[in-house]
Amino acid sequence: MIEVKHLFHDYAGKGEYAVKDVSFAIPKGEIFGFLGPSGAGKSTVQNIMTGLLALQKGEINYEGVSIKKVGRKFFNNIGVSFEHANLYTKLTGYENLKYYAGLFDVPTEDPKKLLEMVALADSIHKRAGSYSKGMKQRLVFARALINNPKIYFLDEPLSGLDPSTGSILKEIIKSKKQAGATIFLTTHNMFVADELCDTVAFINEGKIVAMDSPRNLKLQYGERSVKVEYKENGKVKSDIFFLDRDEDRQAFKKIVDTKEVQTIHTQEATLEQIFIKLTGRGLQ
Amino acid sequence: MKKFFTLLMQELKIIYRNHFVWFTLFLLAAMVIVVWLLPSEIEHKNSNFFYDATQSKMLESRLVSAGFPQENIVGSIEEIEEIIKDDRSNVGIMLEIIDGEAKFTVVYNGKLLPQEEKMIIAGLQRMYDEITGSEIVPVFEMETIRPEFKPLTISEISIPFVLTYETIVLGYLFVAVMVFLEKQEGSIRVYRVSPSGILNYILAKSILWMVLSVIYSALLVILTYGFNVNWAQLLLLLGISSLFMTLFGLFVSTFFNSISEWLFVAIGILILFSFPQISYLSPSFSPRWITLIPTYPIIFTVKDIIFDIGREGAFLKTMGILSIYTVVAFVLAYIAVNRKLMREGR
Repeated sequence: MIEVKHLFHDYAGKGEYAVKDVSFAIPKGEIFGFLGPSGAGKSTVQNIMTGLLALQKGEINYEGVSIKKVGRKFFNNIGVSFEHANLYTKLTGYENLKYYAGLFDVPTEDPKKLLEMVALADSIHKRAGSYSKGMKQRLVFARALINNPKIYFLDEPLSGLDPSTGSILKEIIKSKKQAGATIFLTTHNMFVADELCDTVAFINEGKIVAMDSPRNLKLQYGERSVKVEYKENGKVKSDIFFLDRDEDRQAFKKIVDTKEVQTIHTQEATLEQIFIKLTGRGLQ
Repeated sequence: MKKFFTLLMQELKIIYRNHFVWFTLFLLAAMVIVVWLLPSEIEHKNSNFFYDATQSKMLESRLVSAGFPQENIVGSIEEIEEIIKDDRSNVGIMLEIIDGEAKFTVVYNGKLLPQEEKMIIAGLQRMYDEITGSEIVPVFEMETIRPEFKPLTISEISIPFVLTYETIVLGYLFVAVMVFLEKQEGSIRVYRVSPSGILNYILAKSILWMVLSVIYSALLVILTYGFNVNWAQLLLLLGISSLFMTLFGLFVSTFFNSISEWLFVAIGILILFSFPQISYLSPSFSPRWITLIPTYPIIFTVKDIIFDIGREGAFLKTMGILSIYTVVAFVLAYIAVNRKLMREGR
């Protein structure tokens, strides 16, 4: 269990908080999505949680132990994937992983295996500086897996990846969850969050404005409606019915009973629509 | 130790990939050429003049057989004094036998440091040993006829300070370049979230540069001076000097975000550290503040070692001073790396 309680952070020390009273808890083995636009405070929270930034005010506990007391051994248990590809550009992809593995006190994964997992097998001995943006992102992701951590901090792990490669990484993230890892996922991609996360928190201007499972958020903030496509007099027609209204419910039932229905789609709100509704701004 | 060696190998590979080897070889070649060129400019003029007052003329015949210029062998002590008065860079040496005992009188124009006197005496002793085939210690007498005198040749003067500054500059500058490379690439952030810690980070960088600087310096000595030095003392001295400067360079570099910001301060510090050259070239200028600059004891002790002057206790004293400087630099580097490199923001 990771607990974050009443977290504040002020970069300049002038009372201008980049993070204001942020609290949440992540049960072991869950994926927690932190959604928000650039500059909302996502990376600040992650950096405090990983010890990169000093804890100024509030509490962060890992299995009940404060981050202030965990010591350097704590880093044997976490894997961090950064948004910006921070690699030794003069070293090859393999060397980047091999040397990083040498810094841990715990058994580490085979760098070659990891590079194969993220579809970099062909570029294993190329220097990281010659990698494309997407390749660098995958290498950074693979590096986060090197020590087989129990907790992952993934900052925009799918940013800049094509759908095919992105789905490979999503499968790896899911498999890590299956294996019992806890994952803190920072993203502004609502589809990624929707697909992967057990819980999402929306952060805007340093504050959490909503937090629940994607399904509950959609139910809570979306309008319950269905779109029905049906055949009438040889033509395909479509109608939207809002299920909270009696007349729409009856109309919908009548269509289903009397017409040749071709498709029925629920019309719940997307996470992005909910975010806009709550904050008045988009996620980009 | 695994973490330390991992970091060491990583650093080595990165500096290799950054063409450090080629840069160092170029630097080494440049320095060797400079030092080689220096003596050739003054070889046409031998500033040592000898007068052999012994009946057997053993010194004179030795000098002639060794190809010493005939015009530098004179017939009287008065002749020597005249030559020295005319040119302050000349040194006169007279050998005589008094009551069966050999006596060298060294006449010079100005003031010699004790270690410079010892260097001359050591050279004459060696020559006397070769002439007589014995290890009898003759009497040496030093005579000056005028103040201000620098008996060392340019090549002799150049080797200790070239060696001192080349050795310390390598680690001081390059460790900072590596830090800025890590900041620019962001790779320092990755290190921060590893369990490896500050000590391994500092040791891997400083020991690597110490070893490379010592190898570089050893090559420089071999190519410019030869093998005839006290290697144990020289390598220990250059090793600790480089370690100190690398740690100090690491400390300084942590306060800046880019090479351009750091450069002015770094060069300013190097200029400060080069002030002892003034004392080295003009020994009469040795104010207290200059002697406190770490390069001051280094340059004079390197000179002692290179020329086998053997000032009693000087080597150990310098090593002691440098050990203190190194410990202070390590503590400063540790605090700075902890506060500036291993953390972000406030």
